[in-house]
Amino acid sequence: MRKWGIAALIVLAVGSLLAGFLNSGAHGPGHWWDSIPGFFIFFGFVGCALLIVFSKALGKAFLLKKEDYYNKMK
Amino acid sequence: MLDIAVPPAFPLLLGALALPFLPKKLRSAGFVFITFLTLLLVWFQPAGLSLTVQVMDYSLMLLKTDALSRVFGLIFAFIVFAGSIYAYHIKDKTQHSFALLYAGGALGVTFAGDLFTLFLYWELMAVASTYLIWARRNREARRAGFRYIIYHVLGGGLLFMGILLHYGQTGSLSMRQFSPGEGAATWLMLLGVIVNAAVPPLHTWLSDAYPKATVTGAVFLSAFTTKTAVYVLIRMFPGWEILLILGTIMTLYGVVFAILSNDIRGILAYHIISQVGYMVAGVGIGTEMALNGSAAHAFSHILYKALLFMGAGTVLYATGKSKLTELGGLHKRLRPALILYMVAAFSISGFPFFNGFVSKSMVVAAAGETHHALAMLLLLLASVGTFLSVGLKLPYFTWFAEDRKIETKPLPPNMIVAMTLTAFFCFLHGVKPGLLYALLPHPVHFNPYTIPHLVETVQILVFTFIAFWVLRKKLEPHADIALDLDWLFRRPATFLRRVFVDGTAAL
Repeated sequence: MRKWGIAALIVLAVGSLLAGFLNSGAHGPGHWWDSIPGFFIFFGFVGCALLIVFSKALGKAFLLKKEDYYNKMK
Repeated sequence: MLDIAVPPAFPLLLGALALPFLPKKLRSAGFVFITFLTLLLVWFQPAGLSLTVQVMDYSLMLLKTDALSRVFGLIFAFIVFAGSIYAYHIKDKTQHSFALLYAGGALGVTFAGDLFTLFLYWELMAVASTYLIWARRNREARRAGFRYIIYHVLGGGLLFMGILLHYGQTGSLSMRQFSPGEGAATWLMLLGVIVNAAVPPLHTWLSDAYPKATVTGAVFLSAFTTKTAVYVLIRMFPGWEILLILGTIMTLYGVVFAILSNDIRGILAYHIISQVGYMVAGVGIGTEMALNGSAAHAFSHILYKALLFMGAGTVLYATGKSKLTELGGLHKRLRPALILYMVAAFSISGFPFFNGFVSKSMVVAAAGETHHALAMLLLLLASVGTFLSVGLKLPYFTWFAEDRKIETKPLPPNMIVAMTLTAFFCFLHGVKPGLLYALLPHPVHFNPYTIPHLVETVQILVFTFIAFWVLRKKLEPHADIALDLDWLFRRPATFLRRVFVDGTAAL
């Protein structure tokens, strides 16, 4: 089951890269990232990692409290 | 098309009043029936209908149909119908009446032709929705309900002040487009609407109260308050630049707090804030495509968000638990709920062939076309976070991960029926976006199924998944709560009460 999952992910990733290369004719307003193949591979992975790290850091710094935080004062 | 100039709110409101007089056994059926009739009414009413009544010196336009009100009216009517099926098993039938009042208020706002009528229905929504929180009947819900209603009274007050001021200055109650330079009255109205749209910093009523509502009540709550606010924004405040900024910030704000949240409905509540951010941003961009995108995304969102709350609701119903730290290993026992939940999760994450893909991308593309490149990237980043928390973290720790051998109650079949019905439309619009696009207020020249868009989406989804899998230990849930801006009034609350209430009472 796991092997099929990994295979599917690889096929999708490689397929999307190929499709990006084959379709390089510019469409609509060009953005700076349109000319970088696989940009969204980087964006998805790093973006996800950054969100996780940033949220956890924010949480540890001052946001996360015990569940009864608002109740123990009543 | 039927030229019946009956405001669609009326059957729902009458239904709410009539329901207690039906025998208990028939009330759920009555609820389903009246919502279905209302859906038919909205579907068959053509654009261009209106109904005006004279009340003292004022002309109140109780009904005004056009493409924009129709698209919102349709989805509101549909979702209360689906919700009525989901709630069929409920023994507390007063919830049915209040859900009808709430939905009636939403349809009233949608089809109102003047500001005063709008305001009356706006307040009705606030009162009726509070009941659905209080109906949970525990201490937490009671308190959250009080915070909720106070928030909405204040928000409604701002809206009303704006309307009065505007009427005093212009003598007009018409619901037309305003522009930022028109004066303080319009800003006051905007502020009142923004409260209902749950724009941070005025959003905590949503994240605080929705997770504490009843299993079925939360489904209704997720649909109406924020989306009627979006409707009003599209109609009256298109192109106000501040909305683009606020909307973009909202999308990420909701995502960050969702990642930190341990309660499954808390995660979903913060994602309402995040997804509404796309709609608010679209209004801020103001082009026809952006406004179409906001309306389309509101439509899609109501469908998949209700389905998400239905799914989380089945978990809560079956296990009595809603915290990730207490769940896990349910995939064998709540399998249909898992599958239907995942339809909604794919939709919200923007998977091809589901409705989020065809609507969210319209707003993002509108940002791109108007050269708001940073906003576009931030909206895409929020999509990454959305898939991460709703599509990966929530289902993983609820249905998979550690099997705590939790006992499950069997689910009433009506819940699955309602979820299947809703999931059907999420999928239908994904594969046939034209059906949704035909309802939008402006002509649509957008095709979501282009190679570049598919490439971008596949890459984002696959690699967000990989990052999640690699870092999943870091996402282990903890039994914490994340303090939000309501800390500013909740923390001093005990002290203030001691001083102002107990202290003055002792004098």
